[in-house]
Amino acid sequence: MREQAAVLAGKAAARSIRALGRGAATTMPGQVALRVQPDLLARLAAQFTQGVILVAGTNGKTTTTKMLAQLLEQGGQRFITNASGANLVSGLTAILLQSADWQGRLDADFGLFEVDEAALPLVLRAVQPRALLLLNLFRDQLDRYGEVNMVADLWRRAIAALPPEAVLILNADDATVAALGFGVAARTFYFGLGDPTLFSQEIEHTADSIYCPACDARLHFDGIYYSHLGVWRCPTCGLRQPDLDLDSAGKDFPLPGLYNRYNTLAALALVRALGIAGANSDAGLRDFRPAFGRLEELTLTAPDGQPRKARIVLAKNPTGFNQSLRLLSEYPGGKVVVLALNDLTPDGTDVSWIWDIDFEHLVGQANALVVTGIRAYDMAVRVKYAGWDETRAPMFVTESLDEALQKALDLLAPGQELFILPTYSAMLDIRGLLRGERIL
Amino acid sequence: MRRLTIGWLYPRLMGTYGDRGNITALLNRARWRGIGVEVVQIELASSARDLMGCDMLFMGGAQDREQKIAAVDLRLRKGPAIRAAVADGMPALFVCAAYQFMGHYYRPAEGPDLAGVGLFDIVTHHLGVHVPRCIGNIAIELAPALTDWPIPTLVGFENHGGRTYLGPKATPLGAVIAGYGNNGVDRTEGAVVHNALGCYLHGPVLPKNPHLADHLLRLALRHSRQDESLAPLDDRLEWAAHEAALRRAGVRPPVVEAEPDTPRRRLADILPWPGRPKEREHRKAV
Repeated sequence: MREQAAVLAGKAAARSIRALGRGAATTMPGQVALRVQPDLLARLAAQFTQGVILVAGTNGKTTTTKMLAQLLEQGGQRFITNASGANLVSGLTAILLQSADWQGRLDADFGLFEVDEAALPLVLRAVQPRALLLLNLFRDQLDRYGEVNMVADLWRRAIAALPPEAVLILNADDATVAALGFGVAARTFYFGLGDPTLFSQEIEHTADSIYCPACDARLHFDGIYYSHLGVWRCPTCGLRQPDLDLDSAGKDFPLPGLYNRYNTLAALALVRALGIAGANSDAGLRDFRPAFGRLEELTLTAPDGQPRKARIVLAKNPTGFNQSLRLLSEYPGGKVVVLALNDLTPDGTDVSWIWDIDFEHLVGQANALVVTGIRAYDMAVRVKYAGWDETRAPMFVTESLDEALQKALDLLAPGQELFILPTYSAMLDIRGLLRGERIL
Repeated sequence: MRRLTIGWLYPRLMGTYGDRGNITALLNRARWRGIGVEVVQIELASSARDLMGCDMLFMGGAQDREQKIAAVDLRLRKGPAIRAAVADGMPALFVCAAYQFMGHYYRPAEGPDLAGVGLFDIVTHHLGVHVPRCIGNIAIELAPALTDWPIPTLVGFENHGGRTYLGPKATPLGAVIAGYGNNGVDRTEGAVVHNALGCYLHGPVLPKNPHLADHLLRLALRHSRQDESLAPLDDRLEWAAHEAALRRAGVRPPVVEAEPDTPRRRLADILPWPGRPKEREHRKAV
């Protein structure tokens, strides 16, 4: 009775939000329904015939979840997913409500959800997943999530309750994440690059988990792929990287960037670990298209009436940003780069993290730079101190995203490409400006 | 050519929160003026002598696990050298966890006190996980002793669980205009002893407070008996970032051209500056 009331309340809220044109109703209906029935998420999620898949980690959640959706689709599985990126308890509830009928009944094989790092323990209290995929843990929004070790501790406690029939799919190259699988009841399945030719020559400043998860001694790395991801072992207590159940050998990688290799492997590892019929193909992602704002390609019209290519590359934390900057070098032509830094809740209200990015890699790469967002001047100072030389390539600073995009288009010569690197809320706004479309 | 050696304490351990930007700021602002800078990384294995050979010290914040490793080394090995160097006039900047370490002790919510270096007359208490952390944009007004600078404010971002209390011998770095500061109650922020500054300002603090960066460079030049004059730089971007941070903290940026004493005196009236009543009277007379 109460459940039905909650479903009705949530669905009614969603209808009115959309009717009023107040957005896509990805979160609010969930909040409304949870007020009426606090364990609604558990009741809804229990209805999937094949179970629930959860994806968590600092970077790559949205892309990996989209890859999994493609694989499930190829396997003919019916699933419900939170493609909009609403990944808190309220967001998951809202998505399930949207898919349920007025009696709260769902008809699908799988629930496939990306989950916010901080919300994972709460979600695990409500949902018993069949598979939990943990991608990585990087320093991200210290003001919201706290430190990497704190998030890992919360996860460890939540994971301990998983039963033996659940599968934990873990990134073996991330020492903190890998160690979460040691001594748990759930079955573990490890993925990693397993390719020494991809080792990086330098250790980035953003490396966090370089201490042994068991004894706190400094880890030894046979090689590092990026940040703290690599082949690790502890010289003090002997803890070492677990054997890989899946590595990059023989795989197709549909997207550029090392971080996308991890996303691809993670998705393939999950379908393999679950043995989902028809979805278990290494070539299943060959034609994968990126998720919104993740290397998303747009065609814009320049003031000269000619089309220009633009790419939006979400850059929301130091490791992600470093990877995005490295990605620029994979595109050899001329470029105009837009950096958009906001300090709203989804971005992190503390902008200190931009000083942990190796912006030195940007200098010399772009023909012009436009810096924008609420904290445009913080970013401009950062780039200046990374050695940006205004006598060689111009830099424009404006807090207005609109003005920044206009300026960037003015600057973009024929044949050059526009790369937009925004934080999360800036990405949503920029997409809105460029495509006249709102996601959240 | 003028040269400076900056000692960076535990860059590997104490490297969160973008605090390395402080080193980047010092390095660039010195080099743009033709001053050669060497950054010496002072790690667990470094000796007290490495530390004494510097012209300036910097230490930033860290995660809990890394803090514990550094704390032992600080107390047992580097602490006495830091106290001696600062007593000798060496400038230093300690941010967040480093600032807490430089006090008498840190009292965690549970367990015994962790002894500190005792450089500043401060103590820090963690009141327990149920007490919210001090997180957000912060703006402070510099203490009267430091206000011969062009702009009397400092801006940054604070994120600390511990509350710091000043002892009778401590002088605060400034007064909180917006944010929590040392403890969220007495409106003080940071501490100063000789030429050493401690504060909770991340951001990092030096790039958008170029007056503080230059102040430290001047002190370092003076300490190493070199010409301390600094050519002006084009700091328009830095001041724009300073103003943006003030706005985000909810403070209306001060008008620099206006009579410089006005906003300071207003704050000084509110705040009982420890040990500075005469100066206040003098300032009022002006």
